[in-house]
Order: sequence, then C-alpha cells, then structure tokens
Amino acid sequence: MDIFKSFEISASGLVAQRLRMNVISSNLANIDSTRTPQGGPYRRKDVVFAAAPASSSFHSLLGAELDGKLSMVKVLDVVEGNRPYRRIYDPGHPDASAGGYVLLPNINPMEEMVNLLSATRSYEANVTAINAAKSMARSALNIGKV
Amino acid sequence: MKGIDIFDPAMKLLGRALDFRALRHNVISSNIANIDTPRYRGFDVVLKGELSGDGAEDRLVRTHQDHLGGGGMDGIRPQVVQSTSSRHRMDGNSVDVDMEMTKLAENAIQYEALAQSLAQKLSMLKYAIDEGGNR
Repeated sequence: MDIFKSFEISASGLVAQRLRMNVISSNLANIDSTRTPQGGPYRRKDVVFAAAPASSSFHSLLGAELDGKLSMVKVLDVVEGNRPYRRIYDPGHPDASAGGYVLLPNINPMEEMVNLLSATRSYEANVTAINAAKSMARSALNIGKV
Repeated sequence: MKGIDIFDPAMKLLGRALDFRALRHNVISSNIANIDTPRYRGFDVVLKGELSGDGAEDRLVRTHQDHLGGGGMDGIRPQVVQSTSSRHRMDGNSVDVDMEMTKLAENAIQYEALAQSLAQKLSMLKYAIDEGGNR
C-alpha cells in the first residue's frame, strides 16, 4: 500500500487552500477598487473546488481498485461572482457617473474573514495529515532495522 | 517435513494489518483534502468477510488472488465504503472534520503499534539467529 499517495493527496489540499487564501486576500485588498484592466469596478472572486481521482494509471494496471475511491482536490476555476455592485453617492469621486453615483465592489469584509479562517483551519488539518503520514512512514522504516 | 517458514502467520497478519492501516490513512487524507469540496461525501475503510476457521494449513481458502496465505484471516479484505451520513453542509459536503482528525490520530497510533510489533518480531528472530551462532 502506497503511503506516499497520501502525501500527494494532502499536498493537493494545501495547494487548494492556499489558492483560496490568495483569492480572499485579493478580494480584501480590492474592496474599494473602481477600476480593473477589464474596465469597471473589481468583482468579487471565488474558487471552485472539485474532487479529482487520485489513482495513477500504474495502480489501475495492477487492478488495485481500492485506490479508485481516493480523491485529491483540484481548483477548477477562479470565477467572478455576479453580485450587483454597491452604489454610493459621491460626486467628488474621480469615477463618479454624471449623476454623482460611484459603483464599488460588493465585498463584505466579515464574509471574507470567515472564509479566511475556514481556509486556515483546513490548511492546518492537511498539515496534520501530512505529519501523521510522515511519522507512519518513519516508523515503517524502523521495522527492518535490527 | 513441511517447508520451514521463518515468517510465521502472525507476521503476515501484521503485514496485512499494516496495509489496511495505510489504506485507511490515505482515505482519511482524501477526506481531509476535500473538506471544502461541494457535494463531496467522505469514505472510510472497513474489513469485510468472515474468519474461515482456525487457519490450519490445509484449509487455506484464498478468496482473492492478491491475498497471502496463512492464518484464518484470508476471507477478510479491506473495502472502501462511502459515508451514508445524511448530515451535510449547505454545499452538500458531508465530511466532519473533527471525526476525521480523530480517526487520523487513532489510525496513526495503530499503525505505529503494528510497525513496532513487527519490528519486535524481527528482532527476536535476529536474536535467535545470533545466539544460535554463539553456542
């Protein structure tokens, strides 16, 4: 049984959660951005996670179908939401419309912070899984030591 | 006399138990990695099958070609089953992080206990071999 498969699986979790953290940071940093390269105010971004099979083709050759149920996590996409923008009245703003209204990103800092906490905890859970796998692999190495 | 087998059935049993624990670790890691994946339902590993008698050598019925001989544990094989829990979050994910972390810790300790057992057996074997030479 391949203990190193679990490193791959947990590492995919780490990568996914870190990407999620980066997207959250991007949202928080751009909470007041009224311009983007695509034109228009910044739109809140979110990640889409999917479970991807973790079995390599080698394993399927061996007919080890037990491994077919293992899943890594893959970030399919970073998508922009379609929440309507916030409209506030600020005629002095450089990007104010003729009526004096400015469109701002509709990003709720509380929501982003909660997501950030959740991403941190998930990251830590994956780190614990990797540490457990490491210590298991090390004690397996000690079996043959005489 | 029947073939001398220095690896007694208990050692093979320990090996298979280690395989089971390693597979279980992979499954639990998979659950933890997918903690935030929508519509993901967790998996676990159970041992299915029945004990087939007292393991006398002439009654080794192998139910699967991958099974090792020895012991009455041949009919037992690990199986990955999906959680049937109906409790899930709004995004359809049913992984309970507390349960998974607990299972992870317990499984790791069991694995290390089995590895230690196997190491003890081998060192006893080595002791027997060494002392025999010193006689």
